[in-house]
Amino acid sequence: MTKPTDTKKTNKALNRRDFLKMGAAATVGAASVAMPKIHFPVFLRQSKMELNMLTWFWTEPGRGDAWRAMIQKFHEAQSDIHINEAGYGENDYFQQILIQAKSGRIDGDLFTETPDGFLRLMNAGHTVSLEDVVSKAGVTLSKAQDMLRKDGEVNGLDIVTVRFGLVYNKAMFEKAGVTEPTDLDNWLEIATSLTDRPNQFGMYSPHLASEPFSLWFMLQQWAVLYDGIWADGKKPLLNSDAVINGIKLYKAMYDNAMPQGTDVGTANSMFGASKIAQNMVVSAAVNIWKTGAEDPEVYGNLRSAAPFWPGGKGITRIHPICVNANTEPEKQAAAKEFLSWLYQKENYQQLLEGCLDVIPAIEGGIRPEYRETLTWADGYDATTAITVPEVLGDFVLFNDELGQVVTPHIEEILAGAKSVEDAMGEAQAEAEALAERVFA
Amino acid sequence: MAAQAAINKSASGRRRDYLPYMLALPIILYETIFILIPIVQQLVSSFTSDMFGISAVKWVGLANYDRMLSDKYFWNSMRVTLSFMGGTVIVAVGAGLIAALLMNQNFRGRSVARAIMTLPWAFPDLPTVLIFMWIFNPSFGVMNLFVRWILPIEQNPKWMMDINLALPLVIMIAAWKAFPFYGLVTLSVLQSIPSELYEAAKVDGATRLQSFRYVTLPEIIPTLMLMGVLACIFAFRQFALIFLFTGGGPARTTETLVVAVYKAAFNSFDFSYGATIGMAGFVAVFAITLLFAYLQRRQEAEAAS
Repeated sequence: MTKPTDTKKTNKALNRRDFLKMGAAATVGAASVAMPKIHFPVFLRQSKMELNMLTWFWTEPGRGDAWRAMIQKFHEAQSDIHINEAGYGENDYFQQILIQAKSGRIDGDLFTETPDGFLRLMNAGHTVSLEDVVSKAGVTLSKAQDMLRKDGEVNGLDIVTVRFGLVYNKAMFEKAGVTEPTDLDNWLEIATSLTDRPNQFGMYSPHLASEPFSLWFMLQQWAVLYDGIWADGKKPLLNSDAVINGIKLYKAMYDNAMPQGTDVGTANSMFGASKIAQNMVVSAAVNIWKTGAEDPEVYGNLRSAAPFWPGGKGITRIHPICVNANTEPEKQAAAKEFLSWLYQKENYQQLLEGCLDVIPAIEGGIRPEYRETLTWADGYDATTAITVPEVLGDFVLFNDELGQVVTPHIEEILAGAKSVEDAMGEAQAEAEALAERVFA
Repeated sequence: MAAQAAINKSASGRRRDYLPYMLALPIILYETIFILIPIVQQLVSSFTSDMFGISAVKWVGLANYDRMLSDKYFWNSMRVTLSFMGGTVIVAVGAGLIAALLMNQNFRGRSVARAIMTLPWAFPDLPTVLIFMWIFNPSFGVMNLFVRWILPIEQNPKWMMDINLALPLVIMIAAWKAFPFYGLVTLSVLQSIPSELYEAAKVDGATRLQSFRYVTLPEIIPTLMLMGVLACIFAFRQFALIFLFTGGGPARTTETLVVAVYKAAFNSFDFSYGATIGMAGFVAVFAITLLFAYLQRRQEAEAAS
C-alpha cells in the first residue's frame, strides 16, 4: 500500500516554483564557486587581502618573535592586508618549497630563500621584479644584492645577511687563562687546551653524516680560513692547498677538541650551557643563546674573534624575500605593498634589531646606538666579506650537488679511512665529472 | 513460469557479476591514481633530463640508465641495500622466532612480557633514532661504558661514524624495531599447532630439540618463508630509520637505493636521475613481489593437495 505513494512522490513533476528555487540555488552555488576567482581591487573588497608568507624564520628563536612583532605593527598601520604565517622548519624548508615549485606553484604569496635556492627559483620563473618596491621604499641596495638580479632587475630583497665567524665564551677563555687566537696553529692549541672530555670541549663544527647540509654549510668556511675557495668558475678546487689545509685543520679540531658524534642542536645547547668554548657559526645564530641558553650568563660572555686567519675573510650569505610570480596579481601588489613598508628605513632597522642581525641590506639600515650594544659582533664586523658565488664559482647553482660530492669524503677522513689528500683527490675527480655533466 | 524464473535468474546473475567489479572499483581507482600513474610518470621522467631551475625538461632517451649503470655509487647502493636487506631479514625474523618460542612457553607474567615485546614495533621512527643516537654517541653514549668494560680500548668507538660499524648498527636498529611483528605472527602460528602432535612426539621419545625439529619447524616454515619475503620488501623500502640515523653515511656505507633516490631528487634536484634509480629499485621490489606471489601460490597448492 505504501509503494504507490512513494512512486507518486518521486515522479512528481516540477512546478514553476520548484524550478525557480532550483535555478536560484544553482546560480548561488555557481557564483560562490566563481567568486574567489574574480579579482576585485582592494578598495572594493569587503574583507582584508590575506597573504601567506612562507619562511623558516617563524621557527627560529628570537627571529620568529621579531618577525611577528613587525607583522603586528604592519597590521596596525593599515587595514587592507593581513599576513599569515606559513612555512616549515629550516631543515625541511627548501625541499618543501622545491616540491611545491616542481608541482607548478609555490603555496605562498611571499617566501624567503637561501641564496643558492633563490637562484634556482629565479631561473625557474617563480619570482617577480621588485624594482618598484625599492623605488617606493626609497632605499639604496647593497652591492651584494646584485646576485639577486635577473635582467638587471632585483627579484629578491635581502632580508637577512649572515656572516661566518668564530664565536667564543669569554668566561671560559678567562678561566682557562687563554686569549683570542693569534694564528691557526695557536687556535688549535687553545681549542685543545680547553678540552676536558666528556665535561668540556674546546670547539664545535658540524660533522655528522646525518646532517650533511650543516656539515657542508660550515665546512665551506674552513677553506676560506686558508684564503681558499672551493671552485673557480667551472673548475672545482677540492684538492687545492687551501682546501686540503682547511680540512686538515678541521680534522685536527675534530680529533682534539670537538664533542664527536654530537648533532648541531645538542651542540648549541652545550654551548649555551658553557660546555663548549668555541663555535664556528653564522652571525644570525647568536640569537639562539640570547633567549634559550641554559647558562643565563652565556650571551653576555659571547665574543667573536677578530680574524686571525690569512685573508681574514668570512663567507657572507644573503637570504632574500620574494614575491611569488604565480600568485594572483592583486596579491602580488599587496605583497609588494608590505615589502615597501618593511623596507622603509625605520621599519627595517626595527626588524634588524629584533632579529639581532648585524649586517644591513640597505644604506643606514643599522643604528649606531644599537650596534654599540652588540659586544659579540666586533669580530664579525672586522671580517672581510666573501660571497657564496665567490667561494663556489659557477657551482653556486649546484651547491648541494658539490656538497654531496665532498661530504662522503669528509666522512672517510673523519673516520680515519683515508688521508685528506687521497680523499680530496677522489672528490676532485668526481667534482670534475659533475662539472662536465652540469655545465655541458 | 520456468522461463520467467530462468530470465530472472539470468538477470540477477548479471547483476551479481558486476558486484565484484563495483566492490573492487575504489581500490582499482586508488591504485591507478596513486600507484600506477606515478610509476608511469617516473618511468617517463627517467628518459628525460630534468634539473630544476637549470634547464628545461628534455628527452634524453637511455642516457640516465647509461649513467646509472656506470655510476659506482649506484652499485654501492645496490650492494648496501642487499646487505641491509639480508642482515635485517636474518636478524629480525630470527629474533622474532626466538621471541615467539619464548613467549609460547608457560610462565608467570607472560601477558606482560608479550606486551613489552611489542613495544619496539609501536615506537615511531624518530624517537627510536634519537634514543639510539644517544646510546651510541661516541662522546656521551652509554654503550661506551659497556664496551670499555669488555674490551681493552682507550678511545671510544665512533659507532655510527665508523665506516665498518654504521651498517651493522643500522641493521640492528631496524631489526630491533621489526622483530616484534615477526615474533607475533610466528607466535600465532605456534599456538595453532595441535598439542597432540607434541604429545605424540613425546610418546615416541622425542627430545625438546627433536620436537622442535620434526614438529614445530615443519609447521612454521611456510610462514617463516613468507615473512622472510615480506621482511625483504620492508627492508628494501626502509628510509626513515637510515636517513635519520646516518643520512646514508658515513662515506655512503649505509646509502641504500631509496636513500640514493632521495638524495638525487631532493638534494641534487636531479629528478630524472632520481627517477632512474627509483626504476631500478622498482624492478628489484617487483622481482621480490613476484617471488612472494610464487611462494604464496606454492604454499596454497601444497595446502590444497
